[in-house]
Amino acid sequence: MNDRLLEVNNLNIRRGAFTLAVPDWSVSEGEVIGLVGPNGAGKTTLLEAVAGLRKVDGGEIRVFGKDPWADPVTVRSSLGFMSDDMPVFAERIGALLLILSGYYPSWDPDLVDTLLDRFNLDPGKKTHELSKGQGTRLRLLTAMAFRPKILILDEPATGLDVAGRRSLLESVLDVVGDPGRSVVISSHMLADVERIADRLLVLEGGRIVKEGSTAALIGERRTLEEALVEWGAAG
Amino acid sequence: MGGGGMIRHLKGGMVHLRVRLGVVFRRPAVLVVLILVGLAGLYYWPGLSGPDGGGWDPRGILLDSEERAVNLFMALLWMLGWPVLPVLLVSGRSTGRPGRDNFGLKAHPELPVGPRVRALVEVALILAFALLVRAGSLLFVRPESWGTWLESVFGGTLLCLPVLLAWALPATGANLYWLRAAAAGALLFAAMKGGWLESIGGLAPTSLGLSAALILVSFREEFFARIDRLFGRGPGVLHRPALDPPARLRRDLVTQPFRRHGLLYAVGCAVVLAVFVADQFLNLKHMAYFLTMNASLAFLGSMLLLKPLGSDLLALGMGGKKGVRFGDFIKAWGVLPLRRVAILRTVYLHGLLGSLAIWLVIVALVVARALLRTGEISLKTGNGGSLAIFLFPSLGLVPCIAGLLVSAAAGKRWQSYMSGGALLGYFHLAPMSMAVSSSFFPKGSNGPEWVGLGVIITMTLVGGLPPLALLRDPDRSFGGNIA
Repeated sequence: MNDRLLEVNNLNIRRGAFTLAVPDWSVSEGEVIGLVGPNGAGKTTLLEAVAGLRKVDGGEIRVFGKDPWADPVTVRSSLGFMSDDMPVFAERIGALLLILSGYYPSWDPDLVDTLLDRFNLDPGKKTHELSKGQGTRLRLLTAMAFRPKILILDEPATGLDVAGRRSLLESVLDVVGDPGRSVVISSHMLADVERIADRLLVLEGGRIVKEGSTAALIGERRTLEEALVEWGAAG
Repeated sequence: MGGGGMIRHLKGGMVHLRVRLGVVFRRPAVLVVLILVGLAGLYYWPGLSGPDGGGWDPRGILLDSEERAVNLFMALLWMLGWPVLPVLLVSGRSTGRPGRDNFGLKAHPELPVGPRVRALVEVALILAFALLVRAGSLLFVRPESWGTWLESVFGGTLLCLPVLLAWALPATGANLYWLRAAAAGALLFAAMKGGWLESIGGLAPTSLGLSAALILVSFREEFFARIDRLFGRGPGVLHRPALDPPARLRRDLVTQPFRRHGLLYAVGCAVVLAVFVADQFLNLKHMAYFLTMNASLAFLGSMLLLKPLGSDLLALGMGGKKGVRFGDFIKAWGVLPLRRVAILRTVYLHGLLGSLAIWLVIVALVVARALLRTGEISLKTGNGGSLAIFLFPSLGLVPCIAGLLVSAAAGKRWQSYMSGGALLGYFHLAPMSMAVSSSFFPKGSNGPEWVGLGVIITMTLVGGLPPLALLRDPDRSFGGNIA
């Protein structure tokens, strides 16, 4: 087993009547984790807590050995977070990248150029003029531009066309092609998750339904969608 | 555009027009206000005829008497306000995405009509309304000369045209929308002051030239992109040296607003300075100086305060829902490697420093004006009244403004309402309480001033204290989630 980048122990987060409880979960270097489950299962809550954007009510989260809520500077310097409804500054894309680059010592201008080309984004365009799919690509770009050790993607395929989804998958595979880096992806695009995830974490009603290697959980004769229906985690 | 395309656009335009008019007749309140606006237009027709001819005369608006200052105010009100009322009122059920589209243009977005055709239909509709109103005036006032009357109709229409276009044309953001309307009005007044609008011969090229410029600016994305392509200009540098994130945040607090909006601030300062210099040379009357200086300072202050760290506080680009949402600022900045509380403290500090800077500018202007007029350093007006009683209590606005900014950035609605309410209270409750309490105290007593001071202190506490909770370390307070 490689070094663990992320560890969750006895996590408990309450949000009104909803409670997310994750007794034990971890992500090691070089892994792609698929986080699946119906709407309201707690996927976004878990990812936000891992990124240090949400306080936990019990248990602990350790990212690179640090508490992401208490030490966001260290954690988010090496953790990229992207969510489909995340607001982005109303700037030209170029100006936005200029602002962000000042906060990440590991910012990679060459990677930014590559991703701008791959995602077909014009740096002169204003963010509020982008379509939903273009906005998703931009959020992805900003989450990846500083070569984070962990990339957290919450519904990254929202609004993407076929070409956009292919670019997304290529980019994710590029990230994990670099040893020592990991991706946690939550998506309702089950075929994509099935294709790229080494391991799955299936949530339903704030509880873990299944956890383990993708191949072992799904088996050879069915799809992830069929498996979710069987586990009662299809919504 | 081919013949088929032209017909399609015309048909679309007609449908847009029909829907617009349908809205007017379906909503009685809209109809009532339009009739009132129309009745007002019977008298305040912005043509070339004098007041005795049933309209006001733009040539009469010169800043050399209090009466004319009132005329200026009326002219501002009607030239800028009169055309926009019908535009806003008939905007229909769907009025576009707030913060992105202008109020009227995207009404009924389901119609297959492009932005240019929509803008033209808007302008045609309002001009038709204006001309109808002008024709209606014949029922009340018989013109002495039909030639003069027709000249006034034509002149008024020309005078309205740029303002109408400014309201009706598409805008890529709310800032451009308001700035464009204000600039169109200001340029018309400047032309009026320069004497260019005294005849149709001067009015027509000014109005048409300004209209053409507005169209060019409104579609500037295409225009500037074309220029960029012509000169092969790229998007520019996309990265800067990284620092330790908290150190970068501290540096961005000071440098980013000026680096990113320095030109805008320079223009704002130039406008303030121009009003001040104009006052010295033209000896403006108090009301005219007060109105123009207040407007200039409000413009400069809002530009400065609403852009903490150089980013728009309230108009972030790509939320799940488009438009302005409380708390988008902290969500956008929150994914950076920074503590939430550090970002909020930076916004608060920006509010404190920005509003304090504006306050100091106001004090400096008062002192400089007194010095130039009386040769003394004092906080007195030209007629000897002291402004210290207004200036020093207004320091209480500083924590309220900072509180409002940080509450809006954090998405805390109630704190925002309390700080915003306290700001309004300063301008309304304090003078009102002094006026009301004066009847309870004997003449010559300082009682009303103390009551006013009490209200001001209360407003400072109500508006300034609650947002301070947002600046506490979240580990020692409840809540504080960014997401």
